Amino acid sequence: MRIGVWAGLALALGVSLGAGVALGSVSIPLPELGRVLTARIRPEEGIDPALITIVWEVRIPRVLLMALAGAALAGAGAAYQGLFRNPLADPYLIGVAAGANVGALMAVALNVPSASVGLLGLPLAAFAGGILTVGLVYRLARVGKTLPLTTLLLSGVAVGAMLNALSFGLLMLMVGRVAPYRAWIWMLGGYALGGWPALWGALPYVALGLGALIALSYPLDVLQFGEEQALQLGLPVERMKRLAIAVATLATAGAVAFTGIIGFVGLIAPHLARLLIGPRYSQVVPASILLGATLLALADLLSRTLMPPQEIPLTLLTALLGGPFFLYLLHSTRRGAFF
Amino acid sequence: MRRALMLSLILMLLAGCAGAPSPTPTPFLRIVDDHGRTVVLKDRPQRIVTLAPSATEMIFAVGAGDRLVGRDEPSDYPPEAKQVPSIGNTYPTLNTEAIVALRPDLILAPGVISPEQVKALEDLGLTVFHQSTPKDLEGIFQQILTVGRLTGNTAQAEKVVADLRARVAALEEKVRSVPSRPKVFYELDAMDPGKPWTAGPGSFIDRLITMAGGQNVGAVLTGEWGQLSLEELLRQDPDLILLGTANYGETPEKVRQRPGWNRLRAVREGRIYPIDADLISRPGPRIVEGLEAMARIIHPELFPQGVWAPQRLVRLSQAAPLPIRP
Repeated sequence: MRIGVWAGLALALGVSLGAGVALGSVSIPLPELGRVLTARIRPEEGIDPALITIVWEVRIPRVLLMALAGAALAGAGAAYQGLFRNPLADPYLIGVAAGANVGALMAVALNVPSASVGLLGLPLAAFAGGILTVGLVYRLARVGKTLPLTTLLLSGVAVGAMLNALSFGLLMLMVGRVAPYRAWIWMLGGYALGGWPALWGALPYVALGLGALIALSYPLDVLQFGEEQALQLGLPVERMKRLAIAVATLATAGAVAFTGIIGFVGLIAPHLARLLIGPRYSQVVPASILLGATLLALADLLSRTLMPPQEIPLTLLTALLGGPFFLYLLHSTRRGAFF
Repeated sequence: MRRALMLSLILMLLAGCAGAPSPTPTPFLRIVDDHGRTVVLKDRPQRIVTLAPSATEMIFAVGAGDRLVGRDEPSDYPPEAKQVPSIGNTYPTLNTEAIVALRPDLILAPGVISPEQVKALEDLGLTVFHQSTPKDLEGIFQQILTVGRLTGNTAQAEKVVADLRARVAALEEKVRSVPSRPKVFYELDAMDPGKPWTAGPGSFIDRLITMAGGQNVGAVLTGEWGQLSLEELLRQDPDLILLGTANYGETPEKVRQRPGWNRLRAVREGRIYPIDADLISRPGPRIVEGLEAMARIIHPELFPQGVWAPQRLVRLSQAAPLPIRP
């Protein structure tokens, strides 16, 4: 039964990745696609080089980057839901997105492509903004040697609100001076222009973060008894909380720096995982990661194919299509999605 | 970039052994774009893709429209452009896949395309000429000349620009002869009629208003674009209102019905004029048409009957956008 669910999740991911590579605004017949896919390994005569570029340089890195981002957001979302024991927690709860937005806007305001970091400027600034913000929230929320989660949540919300206001202020100032659309493109999510370098850029942070989150998923289960109980059961609660926050931030910031802010996946993937596989975090975290990757790969596929040649911003799709789907599941199972 | 370096290296070597038969043909054009990138065109471009209406209009103006194989969705002028396949909007996302599929040998990317988007196209092995956003008419003329070089239609580009320059000179001459400088409010957007967006000092529209013999009430703003409060509008009480929002369904009738706007002299006297914003806000070859349209609205006394299709003048105060041609 359990094995069936895992096999199903893996299969769904495989299918969505495959579909993401096979389909797009340019239609490529399947036999042709096969030849294009092998062309990199076994060069063949008579293959249109434009198709090779489309498949190998546009679709594959993009689908993989989106799946990676979905995995990171869903994994971090699951970890936060467990950590805060709150079904509303999402990866952006304590300010990563707000900080990353400000970072991206700063990069645009300072027109960084001209600086030495080149075009990586925007992702780097977003990454730094996200990490610094969570660091600040963390410092603000600390009481002596402990980190009360309610304080952390409230500081996160307050700092996030301040930074969002700052973002709008920056955008206002930019109108007519520099081009704010560069930041908007990023803030709308699905900023999938980076190709392979973006994938390699995001991979280490996401892999490290998700690996650590999977390792932390058993302690997360213990934490569900409540902090005091967990402490009595021998769990180093404070250290575990700090570590979970750090790695979830790392995974989230690493992913969104290269893709832009993508909403909703980090919230619903863990709930879907819970519906499928039960409430235990040692299962929910890995299942969320697989589901998040699948969902975002599919959302990206839809964003490219729904109204070609126009692409639809990813956040629009994740919320607009993910929302009703999620509500349907919630309704049809008629059992609490959380706990 | 790397290819460009390689090519220049090879060329240098070749120059060293002058007279030796050249295995690499000289490229059709080597040119530095507006962002300092060296662009090398091996041959005269046969498959051009444009990423903004201004670029599309320039390609057609220099007579290279028959070589356009792709355009962005908003590129709707000249009408032939709409027959060319669209790659969608470039904002908020750029469909690189659709562009690659068109196999372009030159992509003309105007200043509104971000450097990240240009880099993404370049990484896919495509040749991109990245323009900047022109600051004045001369900037547009230079871009038309450059598009002429890029397409190999230099002569036609020069002819187009000479013609545009002559029209601008003629207009400036006329405007110089009248002393009055009516106060003009140019409306960019009025989603909030309490503080509509307009063009500030140094903006393109500000320059056009000045050239057309008007005085921009938006000049009090600090940036190139900004919102002017209705209060400030009442204080300055412009002589006429140019509805740059006419293409989006705004009409003099709707302006009259806005709360508080009937206190404005221009509204009471019915001096609200729809204007085709595509002529004004696209930094392309039709900008001179936009300038002339503005001048005709601001100084109708300069354009007596018969000079430029007088029956069109009657339509100025009506709702229809203005397709004015000299």
